[in-house]
Amino acid sequence: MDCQDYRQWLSPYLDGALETARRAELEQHLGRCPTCGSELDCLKQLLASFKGLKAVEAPRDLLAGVHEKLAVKPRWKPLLAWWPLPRLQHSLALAVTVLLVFLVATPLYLQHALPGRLRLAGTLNKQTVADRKSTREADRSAVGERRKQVSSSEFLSAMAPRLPQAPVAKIAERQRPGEGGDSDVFFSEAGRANDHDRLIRWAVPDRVQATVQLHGWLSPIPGATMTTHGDRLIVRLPASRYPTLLAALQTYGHLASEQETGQKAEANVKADELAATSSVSGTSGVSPAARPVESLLVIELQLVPSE
Amino acid sequence: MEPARVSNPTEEERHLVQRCRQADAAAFDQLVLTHQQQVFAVALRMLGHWDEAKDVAQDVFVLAYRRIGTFRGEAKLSTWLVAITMNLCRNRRRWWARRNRLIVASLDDPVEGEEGPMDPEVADPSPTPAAQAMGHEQQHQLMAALQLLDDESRSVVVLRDIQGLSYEEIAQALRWNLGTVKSRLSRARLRLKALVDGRV
Repeated sequence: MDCQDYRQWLSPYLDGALETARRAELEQHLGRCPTCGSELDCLKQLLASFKGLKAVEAPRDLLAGVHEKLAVKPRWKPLLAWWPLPRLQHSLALAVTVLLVFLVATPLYLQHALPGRLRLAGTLNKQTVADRKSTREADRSAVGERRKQVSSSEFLSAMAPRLPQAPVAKIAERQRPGEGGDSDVFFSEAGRANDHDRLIRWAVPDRVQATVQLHGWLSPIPGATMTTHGDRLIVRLPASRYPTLLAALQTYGHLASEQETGQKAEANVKADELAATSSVSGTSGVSPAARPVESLLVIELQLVPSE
Repeated sequence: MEPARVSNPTEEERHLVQRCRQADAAAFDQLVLTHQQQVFAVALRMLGHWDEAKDVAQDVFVLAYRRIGTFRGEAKLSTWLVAITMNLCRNRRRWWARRNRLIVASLDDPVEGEEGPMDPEVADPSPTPAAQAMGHEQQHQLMAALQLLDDESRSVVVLRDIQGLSYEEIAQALRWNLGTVKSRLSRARLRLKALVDGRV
């Protein structure tokens, strides 16, 4: 035992709460240690100063304030007033809250916790409308991030001189009034599987990332659109930009195959599809009637995992 | 672990609690008037701010009214109320901490607060010659030093040295065992003394 240990006994000693044996031992130590004796005197002064404190009077209006506070009931209480067992009100409120949180959080969790590739692998037909909306929003935000990183228009411009010449003989001539000046890339599940002029199998490391990349490339192209159809992507873009697209596709993954399908769809894309198309870039300010007519090529991209 | 000896409520308190459970408004008013002094004093010493202490003291009685059914009679009513007060004071200080709010208020003359809110200005806990010469200022200094202690130390000093609760009652109110009460009280007093003397 050293002085530090004995000092821990001073406080209970002053309160008379120290055991008899320890008390005797401490008193023996205090008799021969002036430092600890001085410490004891300091503590005595401290306790004496507490005794000199003035008594605190409670505010006279404290009770009135309690009444006022009791008069204000929590807002949810009246909702549960019908419940016959008051003690269970809290439990019921808690149970309802947990249930609501579960109902709201579960779809969100399932949607966002699943790997992106699963969402593109043919599960879309089974998704609810709410799921589709959240998928679209998530994809758009991902594209937004990607667009911040890469300026696609600059990238494609730089690539243009080295592009191979693409066959254009079977390009379907499509007219999309009012689409000439705008980039109109969007995601949807409404793409039609057999209505395309080119079928490209695009081997990519990651399907979601590939989709995001593609969106980034297509965004600056006026009139270009992109729709999803299960694990396929239906791309519509001006025929003159097809070589640009081919080159861009080879910068992420590689082209497993490319073929002309010869299936020409109707000359014009239906007006309702146009109406459903949501623009992700600003308008050019040119009125639809005044814009030049663009020839659109329909390409089906099948995303396959690269080796 | 040294268990705390139980200090039970008196028969009068049991009767008062029983009436409160039956929604007897007069009984509840009596409960408030009987214990408001102690509850407010503890809140004031713990928080160091007149208005905040008043608010917390009112909250204590509101909570007591709503939870009187949970009072099991294992401790005195005053100890139960003090336990609620300490919890609410702790919560209030955490609330301040989350908002980076610091209050080390003047506690020099609580009676004056009756006629108006006390000055909530930040007090300077450092001792000065003038302050040391005046008993009034010494008390001011002591209370300011109290606010500089950590929550546990302040709690045990307030309950023991200002409110005069026994070790057993403190153990019940703070849910500590007796050994913890003794050791923390000892440490808190030494720390407080060092603060008052300007050694820390």
